[in-house]
Amino acid sequence: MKSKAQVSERFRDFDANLTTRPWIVIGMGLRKFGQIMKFKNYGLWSLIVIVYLFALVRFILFADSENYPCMDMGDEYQRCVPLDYYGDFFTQGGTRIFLISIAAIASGGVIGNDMANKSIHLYLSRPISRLDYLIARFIPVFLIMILVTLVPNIMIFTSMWSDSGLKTDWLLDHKWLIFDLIVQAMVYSTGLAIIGLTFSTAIKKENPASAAFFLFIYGSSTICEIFFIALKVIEVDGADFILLLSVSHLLDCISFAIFDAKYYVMASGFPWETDISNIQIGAVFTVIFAGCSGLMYWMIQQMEANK
Amino acid sequence: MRIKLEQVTKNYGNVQGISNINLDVGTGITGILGPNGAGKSTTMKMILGLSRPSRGRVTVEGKDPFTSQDLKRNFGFVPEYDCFYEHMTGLEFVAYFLRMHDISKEKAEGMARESLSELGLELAMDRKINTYSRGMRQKTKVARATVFNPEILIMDEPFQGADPTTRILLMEKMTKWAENGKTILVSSHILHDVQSLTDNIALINNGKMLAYGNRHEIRDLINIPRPISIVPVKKGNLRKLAKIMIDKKWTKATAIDEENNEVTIETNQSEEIYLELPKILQKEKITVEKIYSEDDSLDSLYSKLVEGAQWK
Repeated sequence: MKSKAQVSERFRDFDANLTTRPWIVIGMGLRKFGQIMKFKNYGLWSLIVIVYLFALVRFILFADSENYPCMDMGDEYQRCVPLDYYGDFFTQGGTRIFLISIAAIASGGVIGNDMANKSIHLYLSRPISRLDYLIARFIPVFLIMILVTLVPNIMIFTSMWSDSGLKTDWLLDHKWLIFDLIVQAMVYSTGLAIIGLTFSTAIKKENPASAAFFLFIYGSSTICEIFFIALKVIEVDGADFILLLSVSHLLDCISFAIFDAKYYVMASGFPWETDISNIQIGAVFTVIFAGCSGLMYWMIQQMEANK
Repeated sequence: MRIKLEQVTKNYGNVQGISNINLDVGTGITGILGPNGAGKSTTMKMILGLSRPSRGRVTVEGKDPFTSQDLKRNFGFVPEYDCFYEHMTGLEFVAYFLRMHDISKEKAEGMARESLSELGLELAMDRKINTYSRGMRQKTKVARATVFNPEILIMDEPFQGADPTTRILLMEKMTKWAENGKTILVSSHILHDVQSLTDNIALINNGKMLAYGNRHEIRDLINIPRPISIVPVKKGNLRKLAKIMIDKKWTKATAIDEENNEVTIETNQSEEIYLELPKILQKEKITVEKIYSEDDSLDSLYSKLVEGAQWK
């Protein structure tokens, strides 16, 4: 059979320009973001809509700019809207369960599917390194998490500004808050994205990876909290450190530190005191996230094109 | 572009993938042949930098493909397995990988369209890949690999599952690309197809390189008698011919096949036979229908070098 089409030489002078590698990686990340965010991904979209509606009802319609961002709760503790936003749904009326679900759905198949259907070999046979590939896969999950962490918080911030009469003074007084909101969202988004991608890389199957991630984050959070309260009740020394085994609580610790608020665990309607130093939190955070990043990179590095 | 493998060994844990492989490939088509599990794919993936050798050295133009990103711009890879995003159309799939290279959507689609059309997918390129036949999938993989205009094209079983029309089309394209100075490495189980494409082969079995180079030269290096068959016009001449041949110094053995009306002689001096045979036949007044040897075929070379029923 003779092919009907002719080779057009003007399209045959392709040359991958490696000077644009950062753009190649960003482009890959943005296209993946576009793919994940397609409307046919009903599950993801439903959760995103829930988060926004929740933010609207819980933090915008029924909030008061006088108590924003924080209000005193007794002598010691403060209750802050940006901290409550990331809190547990059942104890603090926060969005944690939805955020973790979104991270699970968004990250589960990102690397796992590429490894399962071996399209990762097609990427790695192009002029990008394994690290480039990992960064390109981190970008979409990170952006989705930013979409459900930073953006609603900025909306709440804007709403509170509007509630205060759109005063410039209010904005100037709260400019620190924008920085804190950004840092907090980045810590959560980066943390959940890295752990999600680690599960995706290790398990290599979308649904099991998503489920394992959800159970690991939310399950460990619930279990650690139960043990924490139990140990507190029987007054065991060092009970606080069990919270460092839960990624959610670890991220909460960092959030409280960002807002310079004393960390507590909300359970049974009461704040439970904790005493964990920032150095300890920082050390555990570094170990967990450097460990996950390292493990993921190692797995991709070791990944060889075997049958 | 020059691909070199020097004493390359690849182990997967305790399992040896390939052992002490040496290979030196230049432009044109080279067929990598061997039974299942011989180490063909491992060899190809090390050349692509998807895998790194446990021992030895793989270089492409003197550079290590595992670490040199710059080198990979010259690679086109057609994997043996399907690795599609099934929800995409063929056009989207090919353009998607082009867009990795920071080129505009319009240009990527234009290039993808050209590449797919070149391979006869102009009517199917806007359909989703999950509706494609096996042949269409093979063509899409080839289009994705060649759209980058690579200097080196690594094709792992490109004819697998392809219908004869697709196979012929792919072979035509490969020949054309090779004529344009590309280096093409192709592995295939269909020996006839490889034989139609190239005389340059590398034969691998059990992870070891059995032979590489021009298949005729390889055959000459093997000290196994060559069979030459003679088919006389008259069946009555079969025994006479066999008797004459067995007396000749260059004949190792003769066999008569009455059913196919032919005498087969085995020799280590085939060139001498081809020179002497016309004279003998003329002297004995024996007219022949044809003289042939299947020994030069790739199939024959395989059976000599690669023992094992699985090959067939």
